[in-house]
Amino acid sequence: MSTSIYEKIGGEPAMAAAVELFYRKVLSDDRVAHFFSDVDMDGQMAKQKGFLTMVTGGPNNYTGRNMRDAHAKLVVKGLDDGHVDAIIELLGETLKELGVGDEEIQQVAAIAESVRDDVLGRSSAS
Amino acid sequence: MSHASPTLRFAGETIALERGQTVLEALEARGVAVPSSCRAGACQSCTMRAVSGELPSESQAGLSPAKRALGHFLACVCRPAGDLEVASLGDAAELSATIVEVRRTSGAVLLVRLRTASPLDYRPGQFITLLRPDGLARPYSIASVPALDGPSELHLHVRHYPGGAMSGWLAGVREGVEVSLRGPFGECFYVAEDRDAPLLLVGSGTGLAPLYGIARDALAGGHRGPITLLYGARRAEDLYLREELALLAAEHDNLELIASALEVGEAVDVDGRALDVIALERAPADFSRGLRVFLCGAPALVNGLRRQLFMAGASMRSIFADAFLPSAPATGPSSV
Repeated sequence: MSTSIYEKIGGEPAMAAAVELFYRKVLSDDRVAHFFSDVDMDGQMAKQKGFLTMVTGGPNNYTGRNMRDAHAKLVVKGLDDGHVDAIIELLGETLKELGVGDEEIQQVAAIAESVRDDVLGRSSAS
Repeated sequence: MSHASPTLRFAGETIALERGQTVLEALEARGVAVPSSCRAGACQSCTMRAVSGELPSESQAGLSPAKRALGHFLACVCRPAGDLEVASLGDAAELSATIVEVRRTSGAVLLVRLRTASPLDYRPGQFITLLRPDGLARPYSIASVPALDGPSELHLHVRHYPGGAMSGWLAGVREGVEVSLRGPFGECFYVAEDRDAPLLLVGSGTGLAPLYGIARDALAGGHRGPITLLYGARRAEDLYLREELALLAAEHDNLELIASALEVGEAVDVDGRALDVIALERAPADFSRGLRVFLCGAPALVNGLRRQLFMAGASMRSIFADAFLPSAPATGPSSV
């Protein structure tokens, strides 16, 4: 297997900076900021670190099950495809700023895309 | 030197470590349930604390300087080279202490001095839970510094609320009364990592207690960078500890004091703007110089300023925050 994008951008030490970049973008974006208005910034950053680690191919234990459970409350609040599109877009901007190439950003977006149905609580095969 | 394998101590048991075995694997092999998830040093689910012994540096990778200073480490990537004693997080023993002095000061603040039955290993800025003899418990930040005030001396700043369960009791308590404490807790304290970095300390009300401890700790530890202590109260006459602070600033050229109050009145040397306005005006110029920020006091100030500083470009890792949550209404000693 080739080196993961996670390792290419510097592994765990680089994740801290990546998460901050990403989180600032998310909090500045009117399309999605309201899903992140919780005051527990540490908890939110930890979750986003888990997300970035997963989509860049780093060590994680993400499953469809916990993606569903984690987002169920947000789906009730109106989380939809447009929000997922916005997050994937902000993820791409973050990686671009970290010097990741377009082709690899596409790979990351594809991984993020693969959990879309779980995040939105839909059955994937339909 | 023998080449016996290193041993791991946990909860009174001694475990011989196999070559290359992690602390997590060794504990699991003994049937100890340790929370874990990624098992690759990323998710931090398996964080534990070292009691004695040396930690391999990779077992602390990714942890904040405060967590490293407290001996926290990731059990899943910790392969000890020597003997190590570890504990789970959150195992806090109770310690008895005597009330030595309760002094009233301005702003309805009580300066409480306690002497602990044995030295307490704490960092100024951390907090303890104070337990009254009947069990009523309240958290208070620590304003004293072990190296300056003695390892068994604790200073707390307690806002005296009319009818306050703990503060009302403390206001009338006799010297020599025994209390208990749990702790210390918290990660809002000074770490001597970069002695030339600017420090910005911002606090409202008795948020000054941890900040006073942090400032004296940093100065006693030889911090060379500029330290700005920005503290406030609603009314200028509620500002307290001003003489002690002025003395400290007179002794240290790198300490600057800014007092703020929304109702300035007749007071001189008091800025009439809100703390967050002053902080946001000053902080960004120092982001590139490694500024570290300490925020203590009212949750609205602490959480709001933390987010604003982060959005202005500060790294979350450079912001140490302790929001003082109000106690639940007192319904007696059993209240939480």
